[in-house]
Amino acid sequence: MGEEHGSLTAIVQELVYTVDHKKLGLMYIGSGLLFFVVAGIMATLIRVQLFFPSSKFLEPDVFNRFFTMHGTAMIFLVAMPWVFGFANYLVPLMIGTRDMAFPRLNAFGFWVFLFSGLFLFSSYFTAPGLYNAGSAPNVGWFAYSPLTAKAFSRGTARITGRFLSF
Amino acid sequence: MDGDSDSHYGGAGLVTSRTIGEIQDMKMPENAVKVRVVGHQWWWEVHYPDLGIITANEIHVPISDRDPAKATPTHLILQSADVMHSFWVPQLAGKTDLIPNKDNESWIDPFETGVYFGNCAEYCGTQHANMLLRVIVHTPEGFQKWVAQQKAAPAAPQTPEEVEGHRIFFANSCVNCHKVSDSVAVGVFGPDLSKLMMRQTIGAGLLRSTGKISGHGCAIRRF
Repeated sequence: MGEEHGSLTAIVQELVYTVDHKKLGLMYIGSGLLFFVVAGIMATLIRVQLFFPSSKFLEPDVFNRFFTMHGTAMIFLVAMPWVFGFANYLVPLMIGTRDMAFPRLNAFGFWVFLFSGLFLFSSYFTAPGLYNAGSAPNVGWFAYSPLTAKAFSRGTARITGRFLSF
Repeated sequence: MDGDSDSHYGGAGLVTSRTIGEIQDMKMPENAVKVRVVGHQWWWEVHYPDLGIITANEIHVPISDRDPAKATPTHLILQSADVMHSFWVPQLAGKTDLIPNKDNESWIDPFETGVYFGNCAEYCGTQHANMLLRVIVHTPEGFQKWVAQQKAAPAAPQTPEEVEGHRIFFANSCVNCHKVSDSVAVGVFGPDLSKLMMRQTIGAGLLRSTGKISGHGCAIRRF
């Protein structure tokens, strides 16, 4: 709006305002790629820890946080957005409609997903600090109940973040 | 079954339900050793209800026999005191979960003596990776000997080191969590330590035991 076409501001503005199913589909896939890289870095750190028996590379809880966040990110912030992304891009073309049924709701869905992912990862920077890997969830991505109950684990970042990504 | 897939499914269903029924109707062999295993964060509590033995992190069983009349299999009741764990000794049986408020069952029926290694196979928190387990299969005579040793009263401390260890243990909060039979230490939160030095390892399998109290630094968290 008023900005020159092609400038950074214009591109950002276009991404934020868009309700176009093709653009949103690509944005889903692009954000998925971003989380894919982060999850891949965590997977590398996990493998470095496992390279030698009884390695002291990562503390036990940091390791647990990494594999939990790796699993959660790969499923909810990589695999599912990629499925959404392709569906968003292709399905309206395949059935011959101009856009998704509720384009604004579709755009809203993308932004909720993106911010929930960022919110989930922000848990790395909370309480014990980054070297203890913050208060990121450490209960496994399946999050089986007694271990996730209040008596056995602290912190709420995971539950909130997961809730938002749905 | 004349190539009709419905009757195939029906047949498979009948065979399955009959087999399940047969398994559930199986009688407990008379010679079976009964063991109750309770998973804790992050160690295994082992009870022999018929023998009155309580130990931890290792299960001693007699060797079984391929002849059903002479077999002495071990029946395991699997329970959990806190979160879910999973009993897994891959050379002896498949994984079976230990679930709070639910009794799961499993059998082991070893035909060779020796030590079989296992560990917790359901992610259960910080020290899940170090929640190790040993199944030690004895000859029948060896098992009887082990039972007798476990049932004997704990020996009084002899050497000055042992006397000092005894004093430190009973002068501190150790007694609130651990049990030593025939003493004031009656805690049930941690492993029963009555026969600790007869176990092959300490710290849920983390350190190989030297059989002497002074062999290790103190690895126990202060409460």
